[in-house]
Amino acid sequence: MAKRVMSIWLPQLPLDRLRRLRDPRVEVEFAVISEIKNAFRLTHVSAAASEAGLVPGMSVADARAICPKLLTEPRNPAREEMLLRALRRWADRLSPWIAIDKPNGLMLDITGCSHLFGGEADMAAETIASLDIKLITSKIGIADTKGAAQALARFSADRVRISTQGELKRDLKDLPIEALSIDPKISNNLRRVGLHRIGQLYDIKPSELSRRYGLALMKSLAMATGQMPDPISPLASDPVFAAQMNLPDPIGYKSDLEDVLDKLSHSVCTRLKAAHFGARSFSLTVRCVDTGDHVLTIGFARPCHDAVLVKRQFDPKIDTLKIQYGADWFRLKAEMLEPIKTRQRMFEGDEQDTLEDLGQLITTLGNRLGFDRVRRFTPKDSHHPDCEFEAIEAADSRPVPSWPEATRERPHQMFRPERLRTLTPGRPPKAFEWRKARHETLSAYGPERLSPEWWKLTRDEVKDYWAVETKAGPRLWLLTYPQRTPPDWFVTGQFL
Amino acid sequence: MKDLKPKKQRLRLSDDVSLELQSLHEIMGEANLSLALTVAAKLSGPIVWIGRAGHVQSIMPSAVGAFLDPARMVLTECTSRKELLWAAEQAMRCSGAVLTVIHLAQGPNLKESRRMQLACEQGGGMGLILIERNAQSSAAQTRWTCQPIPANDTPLTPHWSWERTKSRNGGRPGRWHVTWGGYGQTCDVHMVAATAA
Repeated sequence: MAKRVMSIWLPQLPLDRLRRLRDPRVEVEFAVISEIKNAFRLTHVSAAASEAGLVPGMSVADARAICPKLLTEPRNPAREEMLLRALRRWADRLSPWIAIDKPNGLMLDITGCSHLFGGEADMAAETIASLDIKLITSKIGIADTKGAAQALARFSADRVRISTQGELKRDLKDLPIEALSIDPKISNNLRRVGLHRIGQLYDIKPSELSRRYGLALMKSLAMATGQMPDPISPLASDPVFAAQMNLPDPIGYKSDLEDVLDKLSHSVCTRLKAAHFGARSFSLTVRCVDTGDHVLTIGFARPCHDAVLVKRQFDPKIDTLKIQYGADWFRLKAEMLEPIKTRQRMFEGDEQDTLEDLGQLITTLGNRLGFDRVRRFTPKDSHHPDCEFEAIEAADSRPVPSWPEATRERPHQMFRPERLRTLTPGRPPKAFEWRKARHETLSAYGPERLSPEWWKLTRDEVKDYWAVETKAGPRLWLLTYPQRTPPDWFVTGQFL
Repeated sequence: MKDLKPKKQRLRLSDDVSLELQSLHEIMGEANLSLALTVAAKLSGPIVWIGRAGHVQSIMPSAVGAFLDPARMVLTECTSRKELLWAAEQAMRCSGAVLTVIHLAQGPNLKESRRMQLACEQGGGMGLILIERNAQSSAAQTRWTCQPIPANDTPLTPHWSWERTKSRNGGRPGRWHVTWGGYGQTCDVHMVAATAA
């Protein structure tokens, strides 16, 4: 069967990305810029900017002179590539053989696929309509070769251009020579001698052309016209680390389930290990014959690819399963993949070893209690005693910033303010009752007055803190609001 | 006959106060945090702090910072005594944690404390139980009662009395009057006076 290739060109990909994020700037004079030849130049311009006379390639300074209200944003190649990869996954519906045509296109081998959509024209129309819904501008060319499809997509006036099978030379004849995707230097030289269209090259002897302009020109011409093979090498999809098992008869005993889990985790972990990856989470789906799917999930504080550890963490989870008539379908999937770096082990055991052990502990605690209940401290920038730190999840792998030097005296324990009953008034009270015990003030230090954060919309009250030593021993931190009358006193912390 | 068990290392707090590593200790009294933090300051490595939400969330890292780097602490919130004891045992068995501190309302009984003691020996770390109300007879190595002492000294310089009420391996009971430089000082603890009870 003769090969057919579809090229999808996405000429406005950076703008489309912002349009999909509902960026309002795309509707007005706006351009995406990037640094080319030591100057910021426009790479993509919005419709309004185009009407104002701006074209891609112009430097930002010139563009501002023409259109002073121009808004710009630098290109984000990483985000654009992510969008392109997502589109590649979407394009799986069209053909199984897809390559990414960097930086802004897709190349599909549609040999034997088009009849499923009712022909090539219908297939192209459906593709364009589907991309339009996704707010992505596209142009399509379909031809026998990669080069020709690309040339038709980029250089024909229509949104869809389909070349008839076997008529490549005729369809390429009228396209400009830039469509051959050659070095701009060569195309400039060709234009200088009056060769503007691809058709003009057909009649010149290849030996003459290659002697003057190099083999690259002849190669791309031969590839576009199908005289030289130019296959599509598809991009491998992202690997999925999962394993599943179908059983002829349902099983229900725990030991059987463990055997299944053993096989599945071994299969997944071997592949993870070979790819130098570890997973932060594993999910096991158990399909019961009567009650449907049950999903068990475990997490890890550090990426893991050890089948024994996976099994150990699943063990208590399996106990929670209620299987009445048995289960016959299982799938184990590794999620949240992270690369694992191997390292040299010490004989004595080093700091890294203890960290690894601690990671295991956090994993075990987190899987039973919940990862949100295993935490560590991280400092926060605030002068309010209840906001100067934050407890984040211990499994969180962000580095801990170094702790700032304490600038004020703070109690070692702090709790929500508890109202006290004043027995002998004073500032602070000379005697008071708190937690059903009578306390007498021996000495007091303060107040430390903290004003509310003025930049917040909901204003707090001014707070006065007093450190109080009582006759019985406990050193307490009292809180009062000086703007309130009569004064109201609270205990909010305790010193050692 | 020679003792078959290798002698356990001890953590020295002062000339005559030391605690066995790889074992379990109980601390009671209002200022029980003072002894726990002093021990934590003398050790280096991760510390697992286990308690109910109220206990764990009340710790102020900026104040604790005078004793140890708050980033060393792993806080674990539990909702029941069963969970508390389970988490403590896991942490003590882990060789990554040098110290496990657990808040309990009522002290552990013989069985619970024996399990924790064995976990400590296996993991090689120290276990401290902060008992809020009353203790039961347990397998812990020592039991301490720590109380704050009013001093009316320079602003809020803490004075504590540490009393050893139980010691399984023959250490005599005793009471120590302890003070710490206070705010802005390093955590050097000074024994002011010792009295044999």
